[in-house]
Amino acid sequence: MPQAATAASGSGPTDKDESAGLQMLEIKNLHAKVKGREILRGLDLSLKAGEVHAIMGPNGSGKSTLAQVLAGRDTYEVTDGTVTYQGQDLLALSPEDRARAGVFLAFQYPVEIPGVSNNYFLRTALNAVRKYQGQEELDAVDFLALVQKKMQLLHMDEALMKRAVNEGFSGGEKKRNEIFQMAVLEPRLAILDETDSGLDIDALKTVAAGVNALRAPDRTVLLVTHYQRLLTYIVPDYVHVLSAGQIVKSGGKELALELEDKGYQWLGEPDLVAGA
Amino acid sequence: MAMLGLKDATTGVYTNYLARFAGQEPRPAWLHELRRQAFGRFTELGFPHHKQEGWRQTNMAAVAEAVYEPQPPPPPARLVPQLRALELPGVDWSAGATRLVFVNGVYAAGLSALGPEAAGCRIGSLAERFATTDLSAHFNHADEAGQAFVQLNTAFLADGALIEVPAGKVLQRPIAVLYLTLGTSGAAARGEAQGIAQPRSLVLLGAGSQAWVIETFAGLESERYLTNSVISIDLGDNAQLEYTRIEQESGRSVHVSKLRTRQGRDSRLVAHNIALGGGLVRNNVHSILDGEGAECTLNGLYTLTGTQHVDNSTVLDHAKPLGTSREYYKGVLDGKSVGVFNGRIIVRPDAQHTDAIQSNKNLLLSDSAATLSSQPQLEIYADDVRCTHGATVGQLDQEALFYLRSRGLGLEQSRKLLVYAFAADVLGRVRTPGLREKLEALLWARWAV
Ligand SMILES: Nc1ncnc2c1ncn2[C@@H]1O[C@H](COP(=O)(O)OP(=O)(O)OP(=O)(O)O)[C@@H](O)[C@H]1O
Ligand SMILES: [Mg+2]
Repeated sequence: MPQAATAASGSGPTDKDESAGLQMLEIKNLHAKVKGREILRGLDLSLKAGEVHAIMGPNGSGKSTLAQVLAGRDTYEVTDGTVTYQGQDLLALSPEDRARAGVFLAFQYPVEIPGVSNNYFLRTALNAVRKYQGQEELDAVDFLALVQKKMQLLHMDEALMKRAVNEGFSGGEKKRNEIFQMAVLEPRLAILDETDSGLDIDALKTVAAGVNALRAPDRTVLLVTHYQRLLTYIVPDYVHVLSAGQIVKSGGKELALELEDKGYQWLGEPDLVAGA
Repeated sequence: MAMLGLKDATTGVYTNYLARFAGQEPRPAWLHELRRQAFGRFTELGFPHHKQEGWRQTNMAAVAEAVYEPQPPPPPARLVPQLRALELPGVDWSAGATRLVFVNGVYAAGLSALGPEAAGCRIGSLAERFATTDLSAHFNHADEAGQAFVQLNTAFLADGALIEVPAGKVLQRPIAVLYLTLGTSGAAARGEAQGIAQPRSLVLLGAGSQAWVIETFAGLESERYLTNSVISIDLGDNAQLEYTRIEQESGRSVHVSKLRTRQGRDSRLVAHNIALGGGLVRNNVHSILDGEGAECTLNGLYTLTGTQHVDNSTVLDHAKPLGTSREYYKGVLDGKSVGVFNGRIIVRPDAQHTDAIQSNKNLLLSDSAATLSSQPQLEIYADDVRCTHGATVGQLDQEALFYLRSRGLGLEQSRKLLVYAFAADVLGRVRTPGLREKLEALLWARWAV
């Protein structure tokens, strides 16, 4: 049972201060392939509850692959390694069960789904999560109240709720919609894949405020970004560099500034570091 | 009798039709003459062969070889609960509704009802009208002379729905017609008769009138029978009609239909075709835009499972200038089902400034087993026209599926939601009061895999 697993890991939402510092996600020696090509090549990463981690790295280094593998996308084949989420084997769970257990991925490229209203989609998603976690499902009225609160937080236009999921949304609206979904679903582990790309400066601040509002001792945020700018609004506890499928350097928030200044080449392994 | 053109007397099947034909009462005289001519044409034509143009993808050999006999309807005490158990979104059983029910093509007065709005119209059983009025002109269109199933229907013309709305009258509530065909439920034994019904509908809208008509074709699950229906619709100048045809036949039945529409000047027709049931289905539509500025929308949805075979063959016939036609057909195909779409657009020399758009989109749910054939056919004899067509066959969008699942929706629920979303615009065009919601509920349940 997922509830039991949550309890075993000690990160129940009741006692927030105690849950801080407990293991949220432990990735060991992760290898993943797509279409026969190895993208992740022995990746290790350890995230504790209450922390914010940033992952940076050159184009094509495997950041989105990591995010998608964690969310359960089956185009990526995990060939070796383990991923432990709150004490349970994450890789053994279906994508929907990962979401229900509190894993959330904000997509680098959110998908348009014509014919499905945002409102219906999000209520169904929230109730699937709540049901799994043993909470009562929300009726239309309670859901509306919750949604209105979150929409204010993210300065979302109410009309977007009635529209089809992401259909015809501008690039920025799609990103904002991802964070809005996150705010409603209140995950334990939020993975944000380049949510800052394509946002104007005001939208960036709003999105950052949405993420910061979610920060809590029993939650963990993993940010994938190319830009130091986001990290001035969401200050990370750790910064990692992903290059050619491995974490090649980790440090504090100063590392992001250093990368902004010097790029990725100085980290060595030039034959492995593509682009930059 | 002109039985000399009979092509295939060896099967004994035609002898069976002949015997039944001869058993019909030869009155009234005009009807007898109409039937006699039609039967003559039918025997000359024979059933369409699958090598014949227009029938290559749909083989009617099973129909040509089968023996059909109208089955006696069960007593009302048994039939009524069976009827109520069928989920029929097109039939309104509530008080005040106008409803014409036919069992095996014969009017069932006890199940039918006329609402207050019916008062100023002529709505009821064709058979009752036959006694007093010669309606041959409505049943004898030259463009149908070569259509064997239409001729067969006319040869046995006995009853069906008559809906006549006088000029200027605007109806608020839909008129529902239910054709229930009863069959036989045993295994197919050689020579054993199956059920048959050949209903006929005549819908006549006077100039400037407006109406909603819903026709449902249904059977009891797993019964074997043939429904061969012919519907003729005529819209006077400026008339408006939304017509919905819901086909919910038994999975072991054969359903053949012909819908012929003729539209006067500036009239508007929206014809929905929702194909849900039937084992072997062939729907023929011929829409004639016969007045300047006429608008016609053909909106179709077919959703197939198992070994269902559904063929929609439509002809949009622009005969006069400034006509607008929109044809949107969508299919959802699962299992080993077969879908066929043939969309013909004719723009006659006189039909300048025609604006025609045709689209056929299909969603294949099973990996490889279901098949689809989609064929547009444009025949344009006028020079100043806009005519476009497009067809697609696709599968569920895997990106979308993953996106939904990544938010906590289960795999089956996500699939269902995407199928539903695919069909949403077709259902969205249904404006008949109360109908769309019921269709949505039915389809939602159907796609609950
Ligand atoms: N579905 C796929 N099919 C084929 N190749 C893929 C697929 N997904 C990822 N790749 C390849 O894997 C490599 C890593 O891609 P990934 O999207 O993880 O990079 P990234 O670090 O997120 O890059 P960016 O900064 O540009 O977003 C790339 O070379 C990419 O082309
Ligand atoms: Mg990426």
